[in-house]
Formats: sequence, structure tokens, C-alpha cells
Amino acid sequence: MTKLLRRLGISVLMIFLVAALTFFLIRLMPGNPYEVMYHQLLMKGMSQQQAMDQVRSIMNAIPNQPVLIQFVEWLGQLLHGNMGTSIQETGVPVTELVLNALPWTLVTVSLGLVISFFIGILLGVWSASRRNSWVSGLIDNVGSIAHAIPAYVTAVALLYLFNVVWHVFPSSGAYGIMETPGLNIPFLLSFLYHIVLPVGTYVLTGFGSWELAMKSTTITVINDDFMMAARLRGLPREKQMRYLGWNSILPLFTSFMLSLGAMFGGSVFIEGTYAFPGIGNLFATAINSRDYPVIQGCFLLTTTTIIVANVIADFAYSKLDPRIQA
Amino acid sequence: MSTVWKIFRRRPSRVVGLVLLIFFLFLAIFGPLMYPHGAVPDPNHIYAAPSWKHILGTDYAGRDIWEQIVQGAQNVLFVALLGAFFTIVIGTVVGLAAGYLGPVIDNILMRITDMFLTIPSIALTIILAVTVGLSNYVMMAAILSFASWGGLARAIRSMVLSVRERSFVEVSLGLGLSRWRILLKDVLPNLMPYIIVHLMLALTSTVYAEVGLFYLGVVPFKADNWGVMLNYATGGSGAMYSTQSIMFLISPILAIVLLQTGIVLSADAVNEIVDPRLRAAR
Repeated sequence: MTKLLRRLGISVLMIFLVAALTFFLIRLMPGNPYEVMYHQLLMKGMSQQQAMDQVRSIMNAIPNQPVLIQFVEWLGQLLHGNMGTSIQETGVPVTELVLNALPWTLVTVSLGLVISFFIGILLGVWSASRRNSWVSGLIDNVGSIAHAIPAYVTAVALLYLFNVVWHVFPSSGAYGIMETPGLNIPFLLSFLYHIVLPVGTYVLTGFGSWELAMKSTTITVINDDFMMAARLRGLPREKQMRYLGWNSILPLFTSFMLSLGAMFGGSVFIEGTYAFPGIGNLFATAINSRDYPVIQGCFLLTTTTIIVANVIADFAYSKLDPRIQA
Repeated sequence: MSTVWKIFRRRPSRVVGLVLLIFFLFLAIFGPLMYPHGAVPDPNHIYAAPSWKHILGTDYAGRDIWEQIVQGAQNVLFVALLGAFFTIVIGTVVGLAAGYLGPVIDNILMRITDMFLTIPSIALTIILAVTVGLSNYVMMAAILSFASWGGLARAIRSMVLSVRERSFVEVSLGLGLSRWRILLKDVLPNLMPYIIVHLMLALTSTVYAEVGLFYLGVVPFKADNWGVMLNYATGGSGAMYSTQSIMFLISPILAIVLLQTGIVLSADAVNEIVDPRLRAAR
């Protein structure tokens, strides 16, 4: 229990550090955006007080104040769930933009993660079971090459093949324009139809690392004493496979959650290519238009999501594997 | 040398990888000699089909695509090599320090490493690239390595922890050799195989991130880069939607895929070259 509390404490500290990092990184941007905006507003003929208030409501920080005071102010607003407003879409709160985008990404990323995990595990066991044949070498090579090919290349290639050449899947969006988002069948069908390509890209770029990891743990476990004992006791093959599978998958669970970070990183490229209304696309457009509050919001929220997911994973892992005590 | 060749020959895929890698290295080194100037626009040959004059055809402004690929190779490979090298150095130093300098430093360094592992590294790299600017190759490589050393540092640390318990380290300690000597002569050589293989993997991920930055178009298009070509091919020029211009889309894709394939397949062989234990198992 104390360990769990410690873990939570570290996570909170980490979220704080990431928040600080995003704040100070933005301050480092060429031509300090806070000052630039303040002076632009002055040029438009606002009074100093008006300009100051405007910048304060958009950026959540007071220009002309010491950096530390700005930081405290920004952090205080953040704790109230206020991340400022978007510069591009004037007046729209960042929280609203980010929270609207997050579910789309969460669904596609987790679908992609789960599917690639299962494909990787099946291929890994298969490759481990015929370790010395050319099949194993072929699977390993295909897996690692598919993993090394950048997500945007795979995305562009899939888009070209399935949209431009064969007109099978849509090129952009998360659902058809005729549907209303909600729990109705036409919307869900249209959603599934639209996410085939994005999820397919996650799977194609992701399964390789699972395959390699699964293969190496399986080979270790196959030579373990308890597997030998199981063979000697003449246990049925399914039971042996269950022992083998369960014990080889366990070590992969920690990397399962860690890989969320990489998947979110990939979403910047994948969603950008498919014009998918998720957080990666929001981030890419915000970066392109230098919409600082939105950049901060995306980065902070994604990282927080990953940190929380990791705490849950740690907790679940200690329940799954009795050798590790929480 | 003959062992190296034997290892390569054991699997045909490794020879393919080596050939691809040498091909791109050749382009990167001799490309600037072949084409010292930027590709020249030719308004009379926009989206020309592949021919002897233009091996891969021409782009939306009538520039030779092959020439752009060659010029991109230098940029991509040089930055990737430098970035991978930085990643390896940071990761190794942090890992060694954490594993060898006692529990307090270990704790601090590992918390920092955890943070870098959790943050989506691509997002951090993009923010950094926009913040600091990709002014030159070294800066670019530094930015690319800034967020990507976490995995290596963690692996090195756990390997140091296990190696320092081994008997030959104990012997050195008993002989009264200095800590630095033990670290550099006993511990580090045992990690070298892993570090070298990781260098190859770091290479693939730096190529990924670097070309990606240009593909997203978040950084100014200063350099010739395959990412810039890919960006134009999918976006502005609309090259994607016509069979006449399709070479402009296929060429950068093929270049990236072949380069990554070459690195990965060679890494497979390098793994066996640097790790004698793997060879003995055969």
C-alpha cells in the first residue's frame, strides 16, 4: 500500500514537472509569444490594461511580470481546469478543443494497440516454436522492418492504395457527414468504416516490436525448469501451452502501457495524414499555426493520460504476477 | 574478416541489407559530387515520365526526382548518424552513472529517465524543433536525440547492476584497481555488443523522427529532404491523384523504406558479429 502511495506521489510530481516543462519550453520559443501578442494588441490600439487582460485570458499568464509569478499564475489556472483559449479558433477554450479530440484518439490508439499486441503475440509464439527454420527468420525480418518503416510512410501508402487506387476506404474524417455522433448504429458503422485505415496503420507499424519481444521471452520461458517439469509430468499439450503463453506474456504487460507514449507520438503523423479529428491532428495543426495554448494543452493532457495509464498498469501487473508485491 | 562474411552469407537477407546500406552511404558521400547544385526547375518537363535523362521522372516544377533523392540522402543519413550517436552517448553515460555511482544518483537519474520514457518523444521533439529551430545538422541531431535515450539508459543500468556482481569485477576490486578502471575496462566492454546493436536501432528511429519533422511541415523547408518531397507529394502538388505524377510520391517512400530495410537487416548481422555468444550457439 505504501508503495502504491509512493508511486502515486511520483506520478503527481511527474505531471507537475511536465507542466513546468511545457510552460518554460513555450517561453523559450523565438520571439517570446506572450510579449509578441501583447505588443500586437497594443498596436491594434488597445490600452495597456486591455491588452494585458486579453493576453492573460488567452495565455493564462501576465506579461511584464517575473517569470516565476507568471508560472504560479498559470499553474493556479491549470488546477482550475483552465488552459487558456485557442489563438486560431478565437475564444474557444483549449480544454474544450482537447477534450473533444481525445476520445477519437483514445479509441483508435487502444484498438490499434490491442490488435497489434495479439497479432504480435501469435506471430511471436509461432516464430519461437520453429526457431531454427527460415519461417522464423522471415517473420522476424518482416516484423522489424514493418516496425522501422515510419508510420507516415505506411499511412501514405495505405491511403494511396485504398483511397486513390481502389476507392475502398474514405480518406479523411472520423464519420460520414450524414451521421450524428452518438450511440446509434449508422454512426457506429460509419465510424468503424472510417477508422479502418488509421487503425490498420497502428497495427502495421506496431506488431513487429511485440513479435520480437514475445519471441525472446517465449524462448527464455521454454527452457525454464517448470516447463521441463511440465513436459516430464506428461501434461497435455494445451496445458503446457497455457503455462508457456501466460508466463511469456506477463513481462510484456509493462511495455504494453509504456508503448502508449509511442502510439500517441505516431498519432501525430497518422491522424495528420488521414485528417482524423483526434489529438495528434490537433497537435500538428496547433504546431503549424503556432497556437501555443493548444500545444501546451495537447502535450500536457496526453502525457497525463499516459502517466495515469502507467499507474493503473503497475497496479494491475502486481495483481497479475504474484511474484511482484504491490 | 572471413567470419564477418560468413555471418553475412548465412542469411541472404543480411547481404541484401548490407547492399542497401552501402548503396545509401554511397549516395550520401558521393551525391554532392555528382550533383553539386540544387535540382534545376524546367517548366517544359513538368511531371515527365521516367526516361534516360530523368531516371525517376520530374516533379511539379520539372526538377529531376532522382537528383532530389540523392541530395536528400546526404541530409537524412548524416543527421541520422549524428543523432543516433548522441542518443547512444547520452543513454550510455546516464545508464553507467545510474548503475555504478550508488543508489542516490541511481534514484534521481532513473526518475528522470522514467519521465522521458513516458512523455511521447515525437511530440517533445516537434515542440523542441519549433522552439529551438533546426538551424544546422548538429543542432538537429541534438534535438532528435534529446527525447530518445530513455530506453537505452534503462537497459544499460540494469546490465551494469548485473555485471558488477560478476566474479571478474570482484577480482579487479580485490586487486585494488580504481573504480574508473573497473568501469571502463571491465564493465563497459561487456555492454559493448548491446550498445552497438542499439546504435543501429537508434539509427532507424532518428530517420523516422527526422524525415517525419519535414513531412509534417512544422519546420522551415531549408534542406533537401525526403520528408519535404513526401509532404509536397501528398499535399500541395496533388501528385498522389494522378498516374502521371505518381513517381514523385513513390520515390521518397521507396527511399525511406529501402533505407530502413537496409539498416534493420544489417543490424541482424551486426548483432551476431559483435556478440560472440550468439555465434557459439550456432
